[in-house]
Amino acid sequence: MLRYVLKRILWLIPVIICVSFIVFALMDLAPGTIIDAMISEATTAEDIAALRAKYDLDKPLIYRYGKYMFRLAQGDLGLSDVSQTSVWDKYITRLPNTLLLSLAALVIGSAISIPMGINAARHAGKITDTATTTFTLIGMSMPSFWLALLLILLFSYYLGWVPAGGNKGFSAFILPAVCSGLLLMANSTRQTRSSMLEVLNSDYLRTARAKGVPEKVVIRKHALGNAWIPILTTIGSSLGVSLAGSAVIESVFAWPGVGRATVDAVLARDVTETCGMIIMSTIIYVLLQLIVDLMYAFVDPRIRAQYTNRKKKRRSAV
Amino acid sequence: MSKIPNASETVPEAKQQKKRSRFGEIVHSIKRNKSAVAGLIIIALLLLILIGSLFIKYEAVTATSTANRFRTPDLEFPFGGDNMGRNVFLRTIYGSRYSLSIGFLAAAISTVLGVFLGSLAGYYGGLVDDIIMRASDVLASIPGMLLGMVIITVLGQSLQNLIIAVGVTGVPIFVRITRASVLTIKNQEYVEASRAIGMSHLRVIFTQVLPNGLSPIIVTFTSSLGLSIIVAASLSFLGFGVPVPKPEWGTLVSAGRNYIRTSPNLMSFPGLFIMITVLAFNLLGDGLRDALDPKLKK
Amino acid sequence: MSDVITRHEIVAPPETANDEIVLDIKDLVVHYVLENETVEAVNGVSLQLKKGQTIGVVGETGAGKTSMALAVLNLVPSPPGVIKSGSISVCGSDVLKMSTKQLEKIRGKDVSMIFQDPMTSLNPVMTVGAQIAESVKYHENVTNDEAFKRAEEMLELVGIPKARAIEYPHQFSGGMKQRVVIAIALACNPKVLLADEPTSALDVTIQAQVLDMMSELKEKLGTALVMITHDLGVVAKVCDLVAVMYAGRIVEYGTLEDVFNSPKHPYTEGLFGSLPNIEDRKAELIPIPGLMPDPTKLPVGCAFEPRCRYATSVCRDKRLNNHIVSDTHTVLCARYDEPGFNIDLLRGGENNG
Repeated sequence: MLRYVLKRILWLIPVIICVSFIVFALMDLAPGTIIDAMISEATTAEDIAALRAKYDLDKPLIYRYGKYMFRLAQGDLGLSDVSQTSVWDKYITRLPNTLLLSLAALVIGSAISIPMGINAARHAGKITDTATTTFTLIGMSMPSFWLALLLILLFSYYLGWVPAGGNKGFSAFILPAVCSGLLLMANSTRQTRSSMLEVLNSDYLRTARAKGVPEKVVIRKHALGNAWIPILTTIGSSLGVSLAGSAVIESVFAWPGVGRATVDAVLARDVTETCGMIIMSTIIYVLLQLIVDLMYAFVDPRIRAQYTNRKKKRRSAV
Repeated sequence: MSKIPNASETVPEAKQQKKRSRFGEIVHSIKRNKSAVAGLIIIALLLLILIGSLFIKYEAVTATSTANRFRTPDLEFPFGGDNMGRNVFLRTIYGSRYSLSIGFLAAAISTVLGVFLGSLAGYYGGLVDDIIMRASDVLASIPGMLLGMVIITVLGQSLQNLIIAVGVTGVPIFVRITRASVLTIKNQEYVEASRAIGMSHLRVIFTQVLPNGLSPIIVTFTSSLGLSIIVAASLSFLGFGVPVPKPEWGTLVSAGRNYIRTSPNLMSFPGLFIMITVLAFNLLGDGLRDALDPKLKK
Repeated sequence: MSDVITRHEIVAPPETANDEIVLDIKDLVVHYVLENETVEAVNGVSLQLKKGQTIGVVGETGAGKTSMALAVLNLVPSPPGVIKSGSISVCGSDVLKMSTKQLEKIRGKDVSMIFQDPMTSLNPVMTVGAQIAESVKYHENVTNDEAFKRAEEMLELVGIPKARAIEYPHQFSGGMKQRVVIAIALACNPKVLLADEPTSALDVTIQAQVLDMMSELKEKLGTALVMITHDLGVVAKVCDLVAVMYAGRIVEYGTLEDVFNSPKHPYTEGLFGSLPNIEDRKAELIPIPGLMPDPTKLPVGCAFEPRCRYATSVCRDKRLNNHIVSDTHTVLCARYDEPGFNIDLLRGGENNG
């Protein structure tokens, strides 16, 4: 098991290398450079040359990339090209905000989606189910920014209950959290429903009933006991998805998270910062997936068996 | 030598079962599925809108008019006038061409590339599989929106580049499901049989493996359609999409954002169109999934 | 002129001590109501089983055997399935009239079932010991530890080392999984055991082992067994009585000797005729021509008529009645209305089995 975890973590290294190269190269190739914003009509040729030298723009891409990787290998994400502030600092201070949002979305979303999905599965084909399916389908079809704006319109402008965004206190947190939660809910409900449906049609429920196990226990222990495994992984992976999509939500609500910071960095052509932030986001994304996979192994004995020492697996004689 | 009683002597006229080809069965299943039908109807309407949009002149859509600034919705301006006096309704109709083409083309790119790579990975296995899956994993590790933003920044803002950016980010999922599908089918006996009679690898892939592994691909394609439209709209919303005067729906919502208090119609309607379009594809996707999944058949 | 009496009036042959009737099915009718059609799965089945007896219910796939068995536990999947009429008495009480609570009491305790596919019948996230113990816990007033101990005993009984009680189903082979399923079914010593093709998913050598084990258990525990199978060899090995099912009806019913030595129904004849004869390897196999009828469109009369070489014009439309061949043997065939009618066996009197 430990070997597996180590293997996955080690796998991060080539991923980081590839990602950094891709992002770095792409950003570098993009038209325009970091110094464009700093040059005006008045800048002299010498100043321009000095700026170019400062950012190594006179050297080939490989040189700049090499320098970056050299620093990266030492764990240094470098300084923002624009503001000369530490990329790491900026990321780390804003990461909790994004994580907070994603976690809140997770809690809100799951609290509603799981019961709703289970209910829909149990009444499959009837009105409850159709209503739920329609609702989730609509939720899945809404672009996040539109939902966000609609929520702002309703709750912030018309009703005035909460501020439209920013980061002043808890009330500013509510709307973005609810928005993320609603989006997450749509997908989670569907997944819960289909996992539950699959389990409800399985033979071992029939076996349990034939044993005389009371129906309530059949649903709770046998059905849910199996259904919650894929549900858990959906929740875990939707955490990853909301992390990835945070850019949009954070932009609309002016929430100071890493998504928004990355967008700003890209717009400013800040290669170092963009690279650093995307690398960090990628690392977190991959780690999250690892945690989800490990969770899966933890709760499902069949998967666990695949990861534990092969020597222990007995050859079951027929 | 005892005689086996001739079957036709003892069995009466066999009831003629209406035989349907597999395609016919799928079509029949879809027709019976209400959500799929609803989806198809909406798509048909959208196509009509698209055709209608071809008659609208680009100039009409971008011409500014101070008199019509923030005009409230009425008969001539059903969605109102925006901050530059342009007719939002016309802009939205015109904009359908962007979203629909991006959705379709980007999904097509993801599908073609993803299926191709996934089939190779699944069929050949070994080193080929490793390389392709690793590359796909790296691509999948980067949060989609961020990658899209970077690609657009490099290539510049344009419709084609948006299609490429969205298409590229959608590749990994197709690689994964195609590979899984191929792996399952590869081990089935009819594939072994084909190889046994000497069919080349490529032929086996295209004539045996793919047609049977097609259903998860089709289902993923329809959901990819919807997803592509949303991602493209999101990128446009953030400013990475189709360049500004062009009325892509995401751009329209972004433009209307600043006037949300005074003229909420500016951002509401284009966003509604996005939702309806994606909903249509999702409905169709759901219907297809039900139709194609033999397990769900009663 | 043959007497026409219904099944349940037949008196069983004088037997030894245990004359208690543990399972009594009377005129059971089970239909599955689908969107456009109704599947008539079981159409008037009656049978009786005494303590310690084993009845083999033979028939092809789709004959309604499983539906009948599920009905005994009142576990016919209820949205499409409907028990239209009939009664099923388990140890004297009518199962079809019981409340859910009462049913939960007798399931697993008085009557148990072994399902067909062992691969999917076990809960993948529970240990096998826990799954057996669960049955015990719900029916007997014991502590968790005691229940688990009993589970271990059951495992030993079916030939699985009790140390494996803490393992999960996926760690067992198909044959062992089926044994676990049997252990679960027998954990509370049921009076009636329904075994739905318990060995079909297993290979021949394992089949023999499992059947031997079941016979032993039957002897030891005195369980009445309903053995549902399509395999006549299995029937010959373990059964005292035989019921041949076709299209939801029992077309022939009798003791093992009755049915195997002097089969009366054309379908039964066909079944034996299609068995390879080890003594006459050159003889051709004679299959029964045609296919099972569409269960949504069954005739009023005999459903076997299209495939029957003795069929006459009246067979299809005439309402059928059971004909008595002997005290223990009945057959459902319109042609036996005619005096002196008998099928001529294709393979002579003695059949292998």
